[in-house]
Amino acid sequence: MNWKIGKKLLYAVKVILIWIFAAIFFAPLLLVIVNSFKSKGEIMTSAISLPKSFYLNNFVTIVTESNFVSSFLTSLMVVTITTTLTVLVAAMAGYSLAKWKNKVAGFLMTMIMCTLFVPFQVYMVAMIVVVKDLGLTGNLFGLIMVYVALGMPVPIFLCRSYAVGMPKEIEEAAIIDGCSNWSMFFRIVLPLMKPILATVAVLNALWVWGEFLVAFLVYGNAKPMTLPLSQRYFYGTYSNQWNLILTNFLVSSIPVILFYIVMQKHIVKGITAGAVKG
Amino acid sequence: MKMRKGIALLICLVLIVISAAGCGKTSGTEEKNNKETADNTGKETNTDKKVKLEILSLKTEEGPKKAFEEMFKGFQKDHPNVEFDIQSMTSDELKTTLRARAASEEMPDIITWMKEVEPEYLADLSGESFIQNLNADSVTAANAIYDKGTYAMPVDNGYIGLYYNKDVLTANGLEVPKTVTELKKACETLKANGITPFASSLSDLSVPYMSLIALFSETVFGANPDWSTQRDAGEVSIQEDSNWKAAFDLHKEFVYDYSDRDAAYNQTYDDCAALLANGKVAFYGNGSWALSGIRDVKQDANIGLMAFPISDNEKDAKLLCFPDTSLSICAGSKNADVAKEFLAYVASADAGKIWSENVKVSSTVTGVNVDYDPIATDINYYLTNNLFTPYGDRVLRSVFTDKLWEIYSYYMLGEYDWNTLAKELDNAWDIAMKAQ
Amino acid sequence: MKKKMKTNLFYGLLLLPALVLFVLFFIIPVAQSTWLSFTDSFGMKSTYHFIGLDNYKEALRDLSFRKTIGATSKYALISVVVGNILSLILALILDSKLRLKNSLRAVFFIPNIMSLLVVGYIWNFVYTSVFPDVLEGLGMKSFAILGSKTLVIPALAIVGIWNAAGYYMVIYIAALQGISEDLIEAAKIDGAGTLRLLFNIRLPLIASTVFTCLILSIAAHMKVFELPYTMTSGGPVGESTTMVYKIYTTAFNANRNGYASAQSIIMFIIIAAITLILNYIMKKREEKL
Repeated sequence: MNWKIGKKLLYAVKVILIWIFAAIFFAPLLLVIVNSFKSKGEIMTSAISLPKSFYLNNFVTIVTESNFVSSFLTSLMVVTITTTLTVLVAAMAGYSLAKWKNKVAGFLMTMIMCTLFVPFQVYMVAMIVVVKDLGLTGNLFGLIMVYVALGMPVPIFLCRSYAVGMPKEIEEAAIIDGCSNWSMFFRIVLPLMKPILATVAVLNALWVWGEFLVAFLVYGNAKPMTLPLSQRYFYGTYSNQWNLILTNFLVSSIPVILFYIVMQKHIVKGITAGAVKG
Repeated sequence: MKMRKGIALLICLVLIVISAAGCGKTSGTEEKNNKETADNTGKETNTDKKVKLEILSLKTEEGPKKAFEEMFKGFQKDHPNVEFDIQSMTSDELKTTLRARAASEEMPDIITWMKEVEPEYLADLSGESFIQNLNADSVTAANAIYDKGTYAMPVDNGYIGLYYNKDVLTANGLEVPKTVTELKKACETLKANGITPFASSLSDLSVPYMSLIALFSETVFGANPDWSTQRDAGEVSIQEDSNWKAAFDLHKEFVYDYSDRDAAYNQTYDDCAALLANGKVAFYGNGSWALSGIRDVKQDANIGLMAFPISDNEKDAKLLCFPDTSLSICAGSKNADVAKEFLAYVASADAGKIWSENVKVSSTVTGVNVDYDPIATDINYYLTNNLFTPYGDRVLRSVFTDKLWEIYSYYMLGEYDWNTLAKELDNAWDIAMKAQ
Repeated sequence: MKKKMKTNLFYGLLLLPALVLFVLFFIIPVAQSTWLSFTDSFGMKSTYHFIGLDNYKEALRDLSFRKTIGATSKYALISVVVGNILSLILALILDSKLRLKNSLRAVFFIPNIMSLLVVGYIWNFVYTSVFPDVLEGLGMKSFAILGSKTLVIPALAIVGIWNAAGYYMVIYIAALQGISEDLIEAAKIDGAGTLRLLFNIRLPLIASTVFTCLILSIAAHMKVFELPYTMTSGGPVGESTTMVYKIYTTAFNANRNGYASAQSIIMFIIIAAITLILNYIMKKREEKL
């Protein structure tokens, strides 16, 4: 009896706690939503009040004046390809680094970890020279390659630590059943890694979708533009036009949020749950 | 099985998107023109070839952006084959971009000049006839940091001074202060009447920094234009120079102490412009670029501009006036000829007028005298009476200005005393001499 | 023997794509930048000279650089510890049975999508307009939090935590979902309570993810740049000047590429040292498993 009350109490504490956190996290976002319905002048005079009228011009400007549709599709394409490649490359490398027990793998892991500590600003200029020497500036292929290269360390890291925890028994069974290494990887290992791959995909897509600096340096003003490039191209740095900056954020983050909600279905109990004998 | 279905779906999606983007490419007219440009670049002899000039600009305000667009239209009347591609960004972003573009040998055709761009990347414009259209002093001053050669074509003359709101002064029974004593009295009166005398920011330290530049330009370089040369020779030093100390002391006494010091952590560059325009403060130290922001808030704000008073002699107050926006052609530009034609157009009276009217600054083009703002009278007073100094931070080495920028607020906030500050600055000057 | 070769080839080929990209876009540029740290490379000048260890000597003597190490460590310590605890709590709650679970996850995730420009704008507003009002409402004297030498770093750390909590939450959720249901059920049958379940089963099972998140967040927070850049200009009196902000101004304002490279190598060594120690502990654990 006592146990049941405790459980109910715990649930209540949990619910209250999470809603308090949610309120704290969401409050600053309200500011964005409210202000995206205001003109620049109205924001300047008062940022916290509710909009006087439903000012939709910001949305109209963002969507109509910057080749929104074509940039949107370009960005969608870049994100789709980049994220697919990143997930694949990271899954392969992460799995290999987790299971390959030798000195080379250990050394490589340390090296890849090092990429996390070097600020991009430090090697940015030197990297652009390499990109240029490879003839990869000004085209989408080059941009995607650079995105995969810059975006892969964290995914590799995550995939590796996930693969470390994966039971050896499954792979061994597959090999004994006569699977080749490769079919074992694609048919057994990848599905097993689904939760972390979905997570990695979300985090990577989110970064690529909003990325401006690399796109600007590597891809420049070639066409078709990605969304962050085209918006920047048409408004410059916005020169503190917060109405447009905030609206832009609101409009362009909707696809990423939708993507996250969709991908959540895959971040669920993987096959691992049933496959391991407890 | 499910996974494979997912991958198939993903590939389909990619294909659809690629084809959709491809369709968008051929249907847009802009892209079509691009194609033609690409086709035609091969035929060098064709005089009507399509040319696209790429410009990188650090003018992010509305005024200059509009001025550039109007100038492009004006130029295209006679040169219908030329297209423009302009990107505006903050000076920090431009610096980063140019560093990368120079390293990968992909400099644009034209840039707004920055002292960070070494002359090896810029085209020497000396001897070009259109330079003759410009005020010779401005051209010389704009190229002062180079031993020889003309790499920067100044478009306008900027200033850093003290904006004041006339209505606020009148409402408090005050005259425009001409000396330090008068300024002090005015500030005390305003404070007693519950009005913050100075607008300033502490979250964006570039705002008070501008006033400091104006102040040391007056106290140090206004009094001794050769100070830098003497410092390089080791004849003078900041530690022993009472003029440097005077600049920092005035800065602390007025710009910092008479601002709303707690609120200053909340205020941005835009807020400061609004405070002055709306008459919430009486004084605001900043440069010519701030004017359009002030006018954006209140078109008919009754404001004036003066040089910071630095002593009780009215004539010591010299306005810091210098060539501000300048254009440069990059050395490797494939369209250098067309770029030069465009610069020749920018140096024409028509373009000078467009720039002056939109950016609200005085043009360097001789004969262009636009009444761009009521404030122009104040500036002309200093110019015609020879009460100005052209030496701001632009002639100082970047290693030194970086240190100055880093620690100038330490003195104002009481973290450093004068000796510590001056010693570090002197040290930075020596490092700068060695490094640059 | 042949089988071993085959296995090695398999693992090698799996690594190959990552390795090629890694060498091209990281190793080569970083090696070039490292070389610059031994030169007097300046701004956009194309010529420079070898000057040995001078840049390193200067950096170690430079008080204003040494100060940034303290500020950065303070920021990272708060953000990493508080941030990871918060993310873990969020993940634990949002992993359990709860109404509106998915929408709540999205709420915590959204701050991470924002560009730090927008983040800076929002929080400047919170600290400068909302915060003083709250203080006054509580009957206290209002003051500028970003102007306080002691509070500016914690204030920035709050923003960093708010921004990144969703990111690590997503990773923790993935790890928690990976825990075998059978294990939990077995423990429940053995009579384990919620807390014992948490500390004896759940947390030990995701320990390697906790380590991963620790390393990722140390690396990310030690590199903080945008927050001081947009919110405080490194002030007041340099209290919020972080290492990368300093490196940035050295490279792009003072134009001293060589010196900036030396500063970043020193920073790299500091973060790498911290991480390698953590990694060593993690390896020891994995070997036990």
